[in-house]
Amino acid sequence: MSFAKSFRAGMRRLLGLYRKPRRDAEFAAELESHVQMHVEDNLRAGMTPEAARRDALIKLGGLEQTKENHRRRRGLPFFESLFQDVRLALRTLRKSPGFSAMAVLTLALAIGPCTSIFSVVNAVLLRPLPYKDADRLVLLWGTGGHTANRDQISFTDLQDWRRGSQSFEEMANFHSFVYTMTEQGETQRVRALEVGDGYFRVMQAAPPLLGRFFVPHDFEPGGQRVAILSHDFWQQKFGGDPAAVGKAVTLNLHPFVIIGVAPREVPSLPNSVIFRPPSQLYTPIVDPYSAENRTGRHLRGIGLLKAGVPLSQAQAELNVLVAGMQKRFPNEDGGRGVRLVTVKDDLVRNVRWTLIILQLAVLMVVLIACANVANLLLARSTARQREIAIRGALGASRGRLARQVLTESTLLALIGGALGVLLANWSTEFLNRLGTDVLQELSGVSIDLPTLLFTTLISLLTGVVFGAAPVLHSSPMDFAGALKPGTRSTGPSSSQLRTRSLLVAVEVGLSVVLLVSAGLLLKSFVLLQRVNPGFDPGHVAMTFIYPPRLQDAPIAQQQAFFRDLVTRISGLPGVQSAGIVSSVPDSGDFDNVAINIQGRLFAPSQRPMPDRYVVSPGYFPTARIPLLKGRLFTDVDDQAHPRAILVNELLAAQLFPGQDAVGQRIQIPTPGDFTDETQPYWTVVGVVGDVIQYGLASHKTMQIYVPYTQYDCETSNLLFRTSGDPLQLASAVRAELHRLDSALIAPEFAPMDQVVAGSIVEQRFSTTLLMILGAGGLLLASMGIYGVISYLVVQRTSEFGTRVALGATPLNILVLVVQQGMRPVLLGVIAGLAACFPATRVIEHLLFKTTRLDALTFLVVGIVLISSALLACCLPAWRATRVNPMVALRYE
Amino acid sequence: MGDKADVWQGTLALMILKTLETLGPLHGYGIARRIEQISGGVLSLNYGTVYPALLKLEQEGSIESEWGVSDNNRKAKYYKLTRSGQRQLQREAQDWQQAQAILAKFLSTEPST
Repeated sequence: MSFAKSFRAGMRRLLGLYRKPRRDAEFAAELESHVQMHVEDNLRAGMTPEAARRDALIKLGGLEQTKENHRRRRGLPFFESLFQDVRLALRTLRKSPGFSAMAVLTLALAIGPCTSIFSVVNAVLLRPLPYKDADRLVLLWGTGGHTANRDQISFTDLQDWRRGSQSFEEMANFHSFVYTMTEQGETQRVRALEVGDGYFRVMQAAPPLLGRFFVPHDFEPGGQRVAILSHDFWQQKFGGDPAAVGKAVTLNLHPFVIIGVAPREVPSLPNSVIFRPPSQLYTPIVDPYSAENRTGRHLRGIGLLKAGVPLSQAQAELNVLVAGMQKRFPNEDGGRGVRLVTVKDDLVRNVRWTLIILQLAVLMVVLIACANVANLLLARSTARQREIAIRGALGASRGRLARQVLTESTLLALIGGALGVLLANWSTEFLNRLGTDVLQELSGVSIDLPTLLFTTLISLLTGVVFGAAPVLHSSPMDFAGALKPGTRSTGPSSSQLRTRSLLVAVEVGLSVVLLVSAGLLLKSFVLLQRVNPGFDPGHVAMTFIYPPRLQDAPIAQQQAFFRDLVTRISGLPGVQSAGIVSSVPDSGDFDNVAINIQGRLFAPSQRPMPDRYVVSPGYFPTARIPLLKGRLFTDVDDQAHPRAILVNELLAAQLFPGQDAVGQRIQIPTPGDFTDETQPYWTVVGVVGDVIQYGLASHKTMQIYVPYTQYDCETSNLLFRTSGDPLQLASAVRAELHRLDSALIAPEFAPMDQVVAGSIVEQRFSTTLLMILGAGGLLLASMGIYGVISYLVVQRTSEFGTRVALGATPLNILVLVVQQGMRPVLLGVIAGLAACFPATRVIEHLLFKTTRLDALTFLVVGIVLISSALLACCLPAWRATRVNPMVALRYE
Repeated sequence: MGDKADVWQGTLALMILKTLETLGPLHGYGIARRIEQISGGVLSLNYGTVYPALLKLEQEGSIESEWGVSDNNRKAKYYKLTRSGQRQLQREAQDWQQAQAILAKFLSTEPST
């Protein structure tokens, strides 16, 4: 038979699915007419009417059979029975709403929130970076300094590495900077990136849109200052004007000539510890190659590895270079090295581990949900044994039965899946809002399609497999057995019971691990929040003060400005006290210096490096940092008087153990014409309390304070304390600042307690998420236990009835049910707690002042789980005690 | 290729087509009666089997159907040969005759002793 013919036939059969009743009727009419004609012939041949009809029907081969054959040929029987199955499945599911709802909800919970969390995590860990050849882009961090191998580096050092290294195509310094652009009375803050020669080569930037990139001449100090606009800034500020090149802009009161516009694809670098929005301008670093610029470590470095060169090789090569430099320049480079990190690893360094843990937690919740669904389906299949047996007896083939059950579970899975996708949408939105403080990457995370497919697939698979399994396992003999009276009392087979108990135990075990982890993190977080930052951030607001005219101004002018500032702000009604500080603790800003102590000799790499703060006297009462010894700064400490310095308690204890720190002399880098050796010594006049500088989770550090009146001060942060909400005075302060200097940009005010809380925002995020997951797991496990026990009770109804009839009290029944239900639960709890011993190792380093085997947490989780399980057992158990023995026995 | 059922279905289809060519448009009962008659009573088939075959032929486009009135003024569904059905008939008849001839040659050879 030709293909065309069979295709045509197939199409006609497909069409045969439509208007089935009409075609049925039509064929019935045809058959009826056939029979009539035959009957007439028979009558003519002499038969009696009954014989005639009987003969006609026999010759036909049976009316029903013929109709059936015709029907089978006409349509596509497979599809037709499928539709039938679906309709039946829907009806069945509607008849047991409790079960259906629970199964659907479980699946939805598994798919929905889990997908979002997974998506969020994937978005951060796996998102491709917008840089060309991102895996060859490497950041160069300094080591041997203060901040855990993530120091800034010097200009001269990098130039040496650049010259000496063979592994890099190009290397460049960079440094983020904020200029104040003034233009016809208008002022604007502009985010800039100061870059070294070679930066655009490192970024493999396309040719500039307009003009040119920097040439070596631009980097020479003392010449015309130049700038390159970023594409977006060029659009925004200059309206995409092609004549922008050649124009001059005033940055920090200096004229800069625009020499080019960068192409759109040059992405900005992650600028600092706090992620900042992209740069608007590029200016050249005009530091000369000099010994002085070898110790000045205020820049960062980025490099492009040569293709095919592994990171380890480049690192080894640089280590050799560095060793040589340490020997040649022991004073400047002693103890200083370099560490290479790919840009991607650097971006996620803090959060990678957290995110992995969250992914594991999500996986566990999905597994719990699947175990739940499996249990529900197994329990249900037992309850329907009788119905299935009847169908089998009526002639349904095993395949047909299996297909019908499969349809049901698939339908459940699909509905659950659809609901899950909906939930995934909502929870992703929720997470977006929750998490945008933590990582800029998180803004606009959408559902990760592969994740959705994965969770959906796993859930569907579970639903389908466990739905069909019991039918596939049973044999035709079972049908007969199930039809015998008294079937209701036969419960599930013992192997099925074992499977279900195992599933419950697994669920409970997983929940225990989840909850213990969540509990440990919660405890950590609570302890973290309670950490005393060393100052009182309540009712204090801060703002960054950057007056453009103070750059390169004489020190006297700077000091006069800030004196005026503090006086004016302190005098405002509502302000209790005000002060300035060069870097605000826990804000991400920091400033270290190397010091010397009179009478002591330190090896260059061993010099103490305390945090340095340039402050006004009002800072201490504003921040409520306690004075422990000696005195605070006063107006006496000015240029005409001896240099005074304050140290913190930790420094005093570490550097002057057993002595009085007051009166000691410390040498620090001082503004003015000093060399390293001739730096002046400052006298310690007092000891103040420790302040946590690097976020609530960090260790205490050594700290020194110098008065602004004896130091240089181009920028600072203003802090002011009020009795109420400090932000309410924001406009008054802003107005006063404007009166002081109209070129001061309207600053943003941040309440200090927000700043401090911001230092632990990542821990808050991960703790919250893990708690949600833990709660989710607990809920699912409880639902599962409830579901299983319910069915067990229904199964054993007649047994209970018998027992009651034989004299059992309600309490006996209750105990029976609870016993059966709690056995796997207890097993699960024990197994789960045992599993926590190795499992908590994973979250160990996230914990703060909490051991990973915290007995209290273990105990609480165990109690919570057992009580939830008991609660879940209680309702069905109570129902069991209400069984009327007469009703139960009659049901046989 | 194909088991007995397929072969049987194939021959039934051919018989139906031939019947319709010989007798012109006819209803299912008439076709079934005719086939029984021609086969000389050797084939005692269930008349009902003719209907799936008729449906298949109609789906393939070899015949078409139309409700009409029989000699006894009874409503009946009449089947008619289409042009492609005609062609199919000729082709398959030829195939059968060819197969018959070849087989005859085989079956007439002397067995070797």
